[in-house]
Amino acid sequence: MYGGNNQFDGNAAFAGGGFMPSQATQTASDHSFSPAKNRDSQTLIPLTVKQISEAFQSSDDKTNFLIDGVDVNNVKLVGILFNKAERVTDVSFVVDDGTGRLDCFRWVNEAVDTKEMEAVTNGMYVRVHGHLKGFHGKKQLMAYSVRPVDDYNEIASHFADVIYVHSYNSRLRKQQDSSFMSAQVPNSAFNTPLKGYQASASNQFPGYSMDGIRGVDKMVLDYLQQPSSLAREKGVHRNELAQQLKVPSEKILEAIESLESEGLVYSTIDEFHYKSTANG
Amino acid sequence: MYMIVYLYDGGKFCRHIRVEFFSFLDYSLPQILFIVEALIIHWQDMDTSNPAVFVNAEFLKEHVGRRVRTVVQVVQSDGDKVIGKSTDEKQLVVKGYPPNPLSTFVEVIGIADTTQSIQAETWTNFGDTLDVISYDKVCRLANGDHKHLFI
Repeated sequence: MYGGNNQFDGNAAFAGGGFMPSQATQTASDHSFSPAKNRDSQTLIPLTVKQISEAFQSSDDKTNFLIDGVDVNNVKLVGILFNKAERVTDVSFVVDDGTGRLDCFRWVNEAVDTKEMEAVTNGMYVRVHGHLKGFHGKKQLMAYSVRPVDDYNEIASHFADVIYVHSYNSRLRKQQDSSFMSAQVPNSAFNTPLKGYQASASNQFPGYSMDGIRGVDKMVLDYLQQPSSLAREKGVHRNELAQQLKVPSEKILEAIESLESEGLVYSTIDEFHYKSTANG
Repeated sequence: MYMIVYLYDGGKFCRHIRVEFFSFLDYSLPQILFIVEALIIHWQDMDTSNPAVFVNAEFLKEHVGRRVRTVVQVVQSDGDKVIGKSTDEKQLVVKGYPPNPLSTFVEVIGIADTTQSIQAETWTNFGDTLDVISYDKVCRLANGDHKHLFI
Protein backbone atom coordinates (compact mmCIF):
# COMPACT_ATOMS: atom_id res chain seq x y z
CA MET A 1 0.00 0.00 0.00
CA TYR A 2 2.91 2.33 0.62
CA GLY A 3 4.65 1.32 -2.56
CA GLY A 4 3.53 4.60 -4.03
CA ASN A 5 5.74 6.57 -1.67
CA ASN A 6 8.74 6.49 -3.93
CA GLN A 7 7.10 7.70 -7.03
CA PHE A 8 7.68 11.34 -6.43
CA ASP A 9 11.32 10.91 -5.77
CA GLY A 10 12.76 13.28 -8.34
CA ASN A 11 15.59 11.01 -9.46
CA ALA A 12 13.33 8.03 -9.95
CA ALA A 13 10.76 10.14 -11.72
CA PHE A 14 13.10 11.49 -14.34
CA ALA A 15 15.64 8.75 -14.76
CA GLY A 16 13.03 6.79 -16.67
CA GLY A 17 13.75 8.41 -20.00
CA GLY A 18 12.44 11.48 -21.64
CA PHE A 19 15.57 12.58 -23.42
CA MET A 20 14.26 12.94 -26.90
CA PRO A 21 16.88 10.91 -28.83
CA SER A 22 16.41 7.79 -26.74
CA GLN A 23 12.65 8.20 -26.90
CA ALA A 24 12.75 8.42 -30.64
CA THR A 25 14.82 5.31 -31.12
CA GLN A 26 12.68 3.48 -28.68
CA THR A 27 9.55 4.40 -30.57
CA ALA A 28 11.10 3.29 -33.81
CA SER A 29 12.07 -0.10 -32.49
CA ASP A 30 8.85 -0.64 -30.59
CA HIS A 31 6.67 -0.48 -33.65
CA SER A 32 7.01 -3.14 -36.25
CA PHE A 33 4.96 -1.07 -38.71
CA SER A 34 6.01 -0.10 -42.20
CA PRO A 35 8.07 3.10 -42.41
CA ALA A 36 5.08 5.04 -43.75
CA LYS A 37 2.91 4.09 -40.83
CA ASN A 38 5.69 4.96 -38.45
CA ARG A 39 6.05 8.42 -39.91
CA ASP A 40 2.30 8.94 -39.67
CA SER A 41 2.36 8.21 -35.98
CA GLN A 42 4.96 10.89 -35.39
CA THR A 43 2.99 13.80 -36.80
CA LEU A 44 2.24 16.71 -34.52
CA ILE A 45 -1.41 16.48 -33.49
CA PRO A 46 -3.32 19.46 -32.08
CA LEU A 47 -5.31 18.34 -29.04
CA THR A 48 -7.16 19.55 -25.97
CA VAL A 49 -6.11 18.37 -22.51
CA LYS A 50 -9.56 16.78 -22.22
CA GLN A 51 -8.79 14.55 -25.21
CA ILE A 52 -5.42 13.61 -23.72
CA SER A 53 -6.98 12.77 -20.37
CA GLU A 54 -9.37 10.41 -22.12
CA ALA A 55 -6.72 8.91 -24.39
CA PHE A 56 -6.61 5.20 -24.42
CA GLN A 57 -3.25 3.84 -23.41
CA SER A 58 -2.47 0.56 -25.05
CA SER A 59 0.01 -1.97 -23.71
CA ASP A 60 3.19 -0.53 -22.19
CA ASP A 61 3.55 2.46 -19.98
CA LYS A 62 5.61 4.81 -22.09
CA THR A 63 4.19 5.22 -25.56
CA ASN A 64 1.14 4.26 -27.58
CA PHE A 65 -1.74 6.54 -26.81
CA LEU A 66 -4.76 6.23 -29.04
CA ILE A 67 -7.00 9.21 -29.79
CA ASP A 68 -9.72 8.82 -32.44
CA GLY A 69 -8.03 5.56 -33.41
CA VAL A 70 -4.75 7.30 -34.23
CA ASP A 71 -1.42 6.71 -32.52
CA VAL A 72 -0.48 9.87 -30.67
CA ASN A 73 3.12 10.72 -29.89
CA ASN A 74 3.75 14.38 -30.58
CA VAL A 75 1.12 16.88 -29.59
CA LYS A 76 0.44 20.59 -29.79
CA LEU A 77 -1.34 22.48 -27.01
CA VAL A 78 -2.28 26.12 -26.59
CA GLY A 79 -3.07 27.29 -23.09
CA ILE A 80 -2.06 29.30 -20.07
CA LEU A 81 1.21 28.37 -18.40
CA PHE A 82 1.54 28.32 -14.65
CA ASN A 83 3.35 26.70 -11.70
CA LYS A 84 6.62 27.17 -13.55
CA ALA A 85 9.47 25.76 -11.49
CA GLU A 86 13.09 25.79 -12.59
CA ARG A 87 15.29 22.94 -11.47
CA VAL A 88 18.82 21.83 -12.26
CA THR A 89 18.14 19.84 -15.40
CA ASP A 90 14.62 20.81 -16.32
CA VAL A 91 11.76 23.27 -15.98
CA SER A 92 8.39 21.93 -14.91
CA PHE A 93 5.13 23.71 -15.53
CA VAL A 94 1.43 23.14 -15.97
CA VAL A 95 -0.58 24.07 -19.05
CA ASP A 96 -4.27 24.91 -18.64
CA ASP A 97 -6.04 25.09 -21.99
CA GLY A 98 -9.48 25.65 -20.50
CA THR A 99 -10.44 21.99 -20.86
CA GLY A 100 -8.02 20.71 -18.22
CA ARG A 101 -4.49 20.87 -16.89
CA LEU A 102 -1.47 18.89 -17.95
CA ASP A 103 1.95 18.52 -16.31
CA CYS A 104 4.80 19.40 -18.63
CA PHE A 105 8.57 19.18 -18.40
CA ARG A 106 11.19 20.87 -20.48
CA TRP A 107 14.75 19.58 -20.38
CA VAL A 108 17.30 22.37 -20.34
CA ASN A 109 20.46 21.05 -21.95
CA GLU A 110 21.55 24.04 -23.96
CA ALA A 111 21.48 27.81 -23.73
CA VAL A 112 18.70 27.98 -26.30
CA ASP A 113 16.44 25.89 -24.03
CA THR A 114 17.14 28.15 -21.07
CA LYS A 115 16.50 31.22 -23.17
CA GLU A 116 13.18 29.91 -24.47
CA MET A 117 12.00 29.04 -20.97
CA GLU A 118 13.03 32.46 -19.65
CA ALA A 119 10.72 34.09 -22.19
CA VAL A 120 7.61 32.55 -20.68
CA THR A 121 6.15 33.37 -17.29
CA ASN A 122 3.19 32.25 -15.23
CA GLY A 123 -0.19 33.39 -16.55
CA MET A 124 1.06 33.71 -20.12
CA TYR A 125 -0.61 32.09 -23.12
CA VAL A 126 1.82 29.61 -24.66
CA ARG A 127 1.97 27.19 -27.53
CA VAL A 128 3.62 23.95 -26.46
CA HIS A 129 4.92 21.20 -28.71
CA GLY A 130 5.98 18.03 -27.03
CA HIS A 131 6.05 14.30 -26.71
CA LEU A 132 3.19 12.72 -24.80
CA LYS A 133 4.37 10.18 -22.32
CA GLY A 134 2.81 7.91 -19.74
CA PHE A 135 4.57 7.55 -16.45
CA HIS A 136 3.17 5.39 -13.67
CA GLY A 137 -0.28 5.72 -15.18
CA LYS A 138 -0.03 9.50 -15.37
CA LYS A 139 0.26 11.45 -18.56
CA GLN A 140 2.98 14.03 -18.98
CA LEU A 141 4.23 16.17 -21.78
CA MET A 142 7.94 16.28 -22.46
CA ALA A 143 7.96 19.68 -24.15
CA TYR A 144 10.54 20.48 -26.79
CA SER A 145 9.15 23.88 -27.75
CA VAL A 146 7.42 26.43 -25.51
CA ARG A 147 6.67 29.75 -27.12
CA PRO A 148 4.55 32.68 -26.03
CA VAL A 149 1.41 33.35 -28.07
CA ASP A 150 1.71 36.86 -29.49
CA ASP A 151 -1.14 36.78 -31.99
CA TYR A 152 -4.24 35.88 -30.01
CA ASN A 153 -6.04 34.63 -33.10
CA GLU A 154 -3.85 31.60 -32.60
CA ILE A 155 -6.08 30.46 -29.73
CA ALA A 156 -9.27 30.22 -31.78
CA SER A 157 -7.21 28.87 -34.67
CA HIS A 158 -5.72 26.12 -32.49
CA PHE A 159 -9.13 24.94 -31.30
CA ALA A 160 -10.47 25.03 -34.87
CA ASP A 161 -7.48 22.83 -35.76
CA VAL A 162 -8.31 20.47 -32.90
CA ILE A 163 -11.88 20.10 -34.17
CA TYR A 164 -10.75 19.62 -37.77
CA VAL A 165 -8.18 16.94 -36.92
CA HIS A 166 -10.68 15.16 -34.68
CA SER A 167 -13.30 15.15 -37.46
CA TYR A 168 -10.74 14.06 -40.04
CA ASN A 169 -9.43 11.19 -37.95
CA SER A 170 -12.85 9.96 -36.86
CA ARG A 171 -14.19 10.10 -40.44
CA LEU A 172 -11.14 8.23 -41.68
CA ARG A 173 -11.82 5.57 -39.12
CA LYS A 174 -15.48 5.33 -40.07
CA GLN A 175 -14.53 4.94 -43.74
CA GLN A 176 -12.09 2.18 -42.91
CA ASP A 177 -14.78 0.43 -40.93
CA SER A 178 -17.31 0.68 -43.74
CA SER A 179 -14.90 -0.52 -46.42
CA PHE A 180 -14.07 -3.42 -44.15
CA MET A 181 -17.79 -4.17 -43.88
CA SER A 182 -18.34 -4.05 -47.61
CA ALA A 183 -15.37 -6.33 -48.16
CA GLN A 184 -17.19 -8.88 -46.05
CA VAL A 185 -20.24 -8.93 -48.35
CA PRO A 186 -18.83 -8.21 -51.80
CA ASN A 187 -21.54 -9.91 -53.83
CA SER A 188 -24.66 -8.35 -52.43
CA ALA A 189 -24.20 -5.19 -54.45
CA PHE A 190 -23.69 -7.04 -57.70
CA ASN A 191 -26.88 -9.04 -57.47
CA THR A 192 -29.13 -6.07 -56.94
CA PRO A 193 -30.62 -4.05 -59.80
CA LEU A 194 -29.70 -0.51 -60.79
CA LYS A 195 -31.09 1.17 -57.74
CA GLY A 196 -29.06 -1.01 -55.48
CA TYR A 197 -25.90 -0.26 -57.36
CA GLN A 198 -26.34 3.46 -56.99
CA ALA A 199 -27.10 3.26 -53.35
CA SER A 200 -24.02 1.22 -52.61
CA ALA A 201 -21.78 2.82 -55.17
CA SER A 202 -19.33 4.22 -52.70
CA ASN A 203 -18.91 0.95 -50.86
CA GLN A 204 -18.91 -1.42 -53.78
CA PHE A 205 -15.25 -1.32 -54.63
CA PRO A 206 -13.50 -0.56 -51.39
CA GLY A 207 -10.11 -0.35 -53.05
CA TYR A 208 -11.14 1.94 -55.86
CA SER A 209 -13.52 4.43 -54.31
CA MET A 210 -16.12 5.27 -56.94
CA ASP A 211 -15.83 8.91 -55.99
CA GLY A 212 -12.77 9.06 -58.19
CA ILE A 213 -14.77 8.27 -61.35
CA ARG A 214 -16.01 11.45 -62.91
CA GLY A 215 -16.98 13.10 -66.16
CA VAL A 216 -17.09 10.93 -69.29
CA ASP A 217 -15.88 7.86 -67.36
CA LYS A 218 -18.88 8.17 -65.08
CA MET A 219 -21.33 8.70 -67.97
CA VAL A 220 -20.02 5.64 -69.81
CA LEU A 221 -20.11 3.50 -66.70
CA ASP A 222 -23.64 4.66 -65.87
CA TYR A 223 -24.80 3.84 -69.40
CA LEU A 224 -23.26 0.37 -69.25
CA GLN A 225 -24.79 -0.18 -65.82
CA GLN A 226 -28.34 0.34 -67.12
CA PRO A 227 -30.40 -2.88 -66.95
CA SER A 228 -31.06 -2.69 -70.71
CA SER A 229 -27.30 -2.57 -71.40
CA LEU A 230 -26.57 -5.30 -68.91
CA ALA A 231 -29.20 -7.55 -70.52
CA ARG A 232 -27.49 -7.44 -73.94
CA GLU A 233 -25.18 -10.38 -74.40
CA LYS A 234 -22.81 -8.60 -76.79
CA GLY A 235 -22.66 -5.47 -74.70
CA VAL A 236 -22.79 -1.95 -76.14
CA HIS A 237 -20.94 -0.69 -79.23
CA ARG A 238 -18.58 2.25 -78.79
CA ASN A 239 -20.44 4.19 -81.49
CA GLU A 240 -23.68 3.77 -79.63
CA LEU A 241 -22.10 5.21 -76.50
CA ALA A 242 -20.78 8.16 -78.51
CA GLN A 243 -24.19 8.83 -80.04
CA GLN A 244 -26.27 8.35 -76.94
CA LEU A 245 -23.98 10.33 -74.63
CA LYS A 246 -23.19 12.95 -77.30
CA VAL A 247 -19.49 12.67 -76.59
CA PRO A 248 -16.72 12.46 -79.26
CA SER A 249 -15.64 8.87 -79.88
CA GLU A 250 -12.01 9.59 -78.85
CA LYS A 251 -13.27 10.61 -75.42
CA ILE A 252 -15.36 7.44 -75.24
CA LEU A 253 -12.29 5.38 -76.11
CA GLU A 254 -10.23 7.12 -73.40
CA ALA A 255 -12.97 6.55 -70.85
CA ILE A 256 -13.31 2.89 -71.79
CA GLU A 257 -9.57 2.35 -71.52
CA SER A 258 -9.51 3.89 -68.08
CA LEU A 259 -12.57 1.93 -66.90
CA GLU A 260 -11.10 -1.24 -68.35
CA SER A 261 -7.85 -0.74 -66.45
CA GLU A 262 -9.90 -0.29 -63.28
CA GLY A 263 -11.61 -3.61 -64.01
CA LEU A 264 -15.05 -2.01 -64.25
CA VAL A 265 -15.76 -2.85 -67.94
CA TYR A 266 -14.58 -5.51 -70.42
CA SER A 267 -14.68 -6.06 -74.17
CA THR A 268 -16.98 -8.75 -75.49
CA ILE A 269 -17.15 -10.08 -79.10
CA ASP A 270 -14.62 -7.55 -80.43
CA GLU A 271 -12.83 -4.41 -79.33
CA PHE A 272 -15.91 -2.29 -80.14
CA HIS A 273 -18.40 -3.92 -77.78
CA TYR A 274 -18.13 -3.40 -74.04
CA LYS A 275 -20.01 -4.59 -70.97
CA SER A 276 -19.93 -3.65 -67.32
CA THR A 277 -18.34 -6.18 -64.99
CA ALA A 278 -21.21 -5.53 -62.56
CA ASN A 279 -23.27 -8.13 -64.45
CA GLY A 280 -21.27 -10.82 -62.74
CA MET B 1 -19.79 15.31 5.26
CA TYR B 2 -17.42 13.07 3.37
CA MET B 3 -14.81 13.21 0.68
CA ILE B 4 -13.90 10.85 -2.10
CA VAL B 5 -10.29 9.72 -2.03
CA TYR B 6 -8.68 8.20 -5.09
CA LEU B 7 -6.24 5.41 -4.27
CA TYR B 8 -3.25 4.65 -6.44
CA ASP B 9 -1.36 1.40 -6.34
CA GLY B 10 2.11 1.68 -7.88
CA GLY B 11 0.93 4.83 -9.59
CA LYS B 12 -2.06 3.20 -11.26
CA PHE B 13 -5.48 4.30 -10.18
CA CYS B 14 -7.14 1.33 -8.55
CA ARG B 15 -10.22 2.49 -6.71
CA HIS B 16 -11.71 5.35 -4.79
CA ILE B 17 -12.97 5.30 -1.26
CA ARG B 18 -15.29 7.46 0.71
CA VAL B 19 -13.71 8.99 3.79
CA GLU B 20 -16.08 10.35 6.40
CA PHE B 21 -14.58 13.43 7.98
CA PHE B 22 -15.77 12.67 11.47
CA SER B 23 -14.20 9.21 11.32
CA PHE B 24 -10.80 10.46 10.20
CA LEU B 25 -9.45 9.65 13.67
CA ASP B 26 -10.17 5.97 13.06
CA TYR B 27 -7.30 5.87 10.58
CA SER B 28 -3.72 5.39 11.67
CA LEU B 29 -1.18 8.10 10.85
CA PRO B 30 0.44 6.19 7.94
CA GLN B 31 -3.01 5.58 6.50
CA ILE B 32 -3.85 9.25 6.71
CA LEU B 33 -0.50 10.12 5.12
CA PHE B 34 -1.24 7.70 2.33
CA ILE B 35 -4.66 9.21 1.79
CA VAL B 36 -3.21 12.70 1.70
CA GLU B 37 -0.58 11.54 -0.76
CA ALA B 38 -3.25 9.89 -2.89
CA LEU B 39 -5.13 13.17 -2.93
CA ILE B 40 -2.02 15.06 -3.95
CA ILE B 41 -1.32 12.59 -6.73
CA HIS B 42 -4.85 13.01 -7.96
CA TRP B 43 -4.57 16.76 -7.94
CA GLN B 44 -1.24 16.68 -9.67
CA ASP B 45 -2.63 14.50 -12.40
CA MET B 46 -4.63 16.12 -15.16
CA ASP B 47 -7.42 18.09 -13.66
CA THR B 48 -10.30 18.28 -16.10
CA SER B 49 -12.87 18.82 -13.36
CA ASN B 50 -13.07 22.57 -13.68
CA PRO B 51 -12.97 23.49 -17.34
CA ALA B 52 -13.52 27.01 -18.66
CA VAL B 53 -16.08 26.68 -21.42
CA PHE B 54 -15.79 28.80 -24.57
CA VAL B 55 -18.88 31.05 -24.61
CA ASN B 56 -20.40 34.01 -26.37
CA ALA B 57 -23.41 35.87 -24.94
CA GLU B 58 -25.80 33.23 -26.27
CA PHE B 59 -24.03 30.25 -24.66
CA LEU B 60 -23.30 32.11 -21.44
CA LYS B 61 -26.95 31.57 -20.50
CA GLU B 62 -26.41 27.79 -20.47
CA HIS B 63 -23.45 27.97 -18.12
CA VAL B 64 -24.58 30.17 -15.23
CA GLY B 65 -22.65 29.18 -12.09
CA ARG B 66 -19.85 27.56 -14.07
CA ARG B 67 -16.39 28.60 -15.21
CA VAL B 68 -16.42 30.16 -18.64
CA ARG B 69 -14.09 32.00 -20.98
CA THR B 70 -15.02 34.62 -23.49
CA VAL B 71 -13.67 37.56 -25.42
CA VAL B 72 -15.28 41.01 -25.26
CA GLN B 73 -14.62 44.22 -27.09
CA VAL B 74 -14.31 46.84 -24.38
CA VAL B 75 -17.03 49.51 -24.62
CA GLN B 76 -16.69 51.10 -21.21
CA SER B 77 -14.32 50.45 -18.33
CA ASP B 78 -14.88 51.57 -14.74
CA GLY B 79 -12.70 50.71 -11.78
CA ASP B 80 -14.46 47.47 -10.93
CA LYS B 81 -16.28 46.41 -14.07
CA VAL B 82 -16.08 46.40 -17.83
CA ILE B 83 -19.01 46.69 -20.18
CA GLY B 84 -18.19 44.96 -23.41
CA LYS B 85 -19.55 43.67 -26.66
CA SER B 86 -19.54 39.88 -26.99
CA THR B 87 -18.38 38.07 -30.14
CA ASP B 88 -22.05 37.64 -31.07
CA GLU B 89 -22.59 41.38 -30.61
CA LYS B 90 -24.53 41.45 -27.36
CA GLN B 91 -23.72 43.41 -24.24
CA LEU B 92 -21.87 41.63 -21.44
CA VAL B 93 -20.81 42.91 -18.02
CA VAL B 94 -17.51 41.68 -16.60
CA LYS B 95 -17.06 42.25 -12.88
CA GLY B 96 -13.65 42.36 -11.23
CA TYR B 97 -10.54 44.50 -11.49
CA PRO B 98 -9.44 44.88 -15.10
CA PRO B 99 -5.75 45.32 -15.92
CA ASN B 100 -4.42 48.73 -16.79
CA PRO B 101 -3.91 49.39 -19.66
CA LEU B 102 -6.75 47.47 -21.27
CA SER B 103 -6.62 46.60 -24.96
CA THR B 104 -9.62 46.78 -27.30
CA PHE B 105 -10.23 43.05 -26.98
CA VAL B 106 -9.90 41.29 -23.67
CA GLU B 107 -10.30 37.64 -22.76
CA VAL B 108 -11.95 36.89 -19.46
CA ILE B 109 -11.95 33.62 -17.56
CA GLY B 110 -14.33 33.54 -14.64
CA ILE B 111 -17.62 32.38 -13.24
CA ALA B 112 -20.83 33.13 -15.12
CA ASP B 113 -22.80 34.76 -12.31
CA THR B 114 -25.88 35.76 -14.32
CA THR B 115 -27.03 35.24 -17.91
CA GLN B 116 -25.35 38.52 -18.86
CA SER B 117 -22.41 38.88 -16.50
CA ILE B 118 -19.18 37.18 -15.52
CA GLN B 119 -17.22 37.46 -12.28
CA ALA B 120 -13.67 37.62 -13.67
CA GLU B 121 -10.73 35.61 -12.32
CA THR B 122 -8.23 36.11 -15.12
CA TRP B 123 -7.96 38.90 -17.66
CA THR B 124 -5.78 38.69 -20.75
CA ASN B 125 -5.31 41.56 -23.16
CA PHE B 126 -5.90 40.17 -26.63
CA GLY B 127 -4.70 43.29 -28.44
CA ASP B 128 -6.47 45.75 -30.67
CA THR B 129 -7.10 43.50 -33.65
CA LEU B 130 -8.85 40.19 -33.30
CA ASP B 131 -10.88 38.07 -35.68
CA VAL B 132 -14.03 37.93 -33.54
CA ILE B 133 -16.00 36.12 -36.25
CA SER B 134 -13.61 33.16 -36.13
CA TYR B 135 -13.63 33.19 -32.35
CA ASP B 136 -17.43 33.14 -32.38
CA LYS B 137 -17.47 30.25 -34.85
CA VAL B 138 -15.08 28.20 -32.73
CA CYS B 139 -17.29 29.01 -29.76
CA ARG B 140 -20.33 27.61 -31.58
CA LEU B 141 -18.45 24.45 -32.56
CA ALA B 142 -17.22 23.99 -28.99
CA ASN B 143 -20.80 24.16 -27.72
CA GLY B 144 -22.28 22.09 -30.52
CA ASP B 145 -21.28 18.80 -32.11
CA HIS B 146 -17.77 18.93 -30.69
CA LYS B 147 -18.63 19.71 -27.09
CA HIS B 148 -17.10 16.44 -25.91
CA LEU B 149 -13.64 17.67 -26.90
CA PHE B 150 -13.93 20.55 -24.44
CA ILE B 151 -16.13 19.65 -21.49
